[in-house]
Amino acid sequence: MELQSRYADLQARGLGLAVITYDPTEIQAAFADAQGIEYPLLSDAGSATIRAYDLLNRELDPDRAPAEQRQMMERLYGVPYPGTFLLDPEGRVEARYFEPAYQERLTVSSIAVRLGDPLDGTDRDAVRVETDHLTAQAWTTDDVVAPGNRFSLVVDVTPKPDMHVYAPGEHTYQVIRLRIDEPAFARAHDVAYPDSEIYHFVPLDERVEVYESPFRLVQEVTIPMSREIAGQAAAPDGTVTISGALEYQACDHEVCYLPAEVPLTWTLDWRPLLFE
Amino acid sequence: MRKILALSFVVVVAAAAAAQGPLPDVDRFGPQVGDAVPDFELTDQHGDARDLASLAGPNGTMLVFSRSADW
Repeated sequence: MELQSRYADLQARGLGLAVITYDPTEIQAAFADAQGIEYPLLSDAGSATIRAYDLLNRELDPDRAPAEQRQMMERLYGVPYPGTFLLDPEGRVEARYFEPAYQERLTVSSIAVRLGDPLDGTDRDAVRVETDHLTAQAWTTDDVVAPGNRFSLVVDVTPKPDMHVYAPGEHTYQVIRLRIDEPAFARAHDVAYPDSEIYHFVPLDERVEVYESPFRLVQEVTIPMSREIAGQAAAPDGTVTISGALEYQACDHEVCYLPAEVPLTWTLDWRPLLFE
Repeated sequence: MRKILALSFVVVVAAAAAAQGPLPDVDRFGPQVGDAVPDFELTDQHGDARDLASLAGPNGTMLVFSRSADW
């Protein structure tokens, strides 16, 4: 499970880790045993704590379900909206990350990137690309993904000397972005852009939002849960290849260059849904 | 074991399909940034009772709410 693989990283940061589900203790104990789960797995059978936190998933209420789904909903009802709290030592919420679909969750490594402090080593397999205008290191927060994971594709961009690329803002230049082409089922979220700088382009006396210094783009991607995707993930030694391109327009102090794109590919291992 | 896993697989995928529809705005549910969360006493996989203080590291706790360990 993804969380077990990050337990040591979290402990090294002085953080405890615990997971709450609505399963009885016997189910959790068998699961922990079979999967080698070392962090506390807490049983909220009856969902009292999930309700106390106001996180009960209301969409699965059997009383609201069509008759043919009622039996299944009775089994499912009691699960929370899935998500993660970061609590300070006094139990106050420092940050929270929740997903509406109960089978999706932001990975620990993605949370670390959101907090601006990536886990050690996550960028060790970064692919370096270079164009006339910039260099970029592309990496992923997770080498292994499962259906339901929301993880991040990260591109660390360094414009070459005197070059800038365009940030979101009030202009018509092409904003630098990451385009995800494959697989079709990958759901790309909005790119997280860092704060931009204002550049005064003297030839046109324009002031526009740009990046001149090194900066980081973070593209979060969700692998949805479906029969087809779960089937792919279950294949032994399976991998998923994500392909796309970094699109941008660069200018220096005199010239604006044509929009450019740099193909990028990431190959990740699948973590089967329930067999890991 | 294989049969149980196969059944679980069917449930989680079928449930994913059943739960389609407009998704709720989950950001408004539950304790917000700055709030103190409710304490609890829940049993872990070893049968020990755990409250928030027993889970915290020196810098705090990552507390995850998840779907079932069974499916």
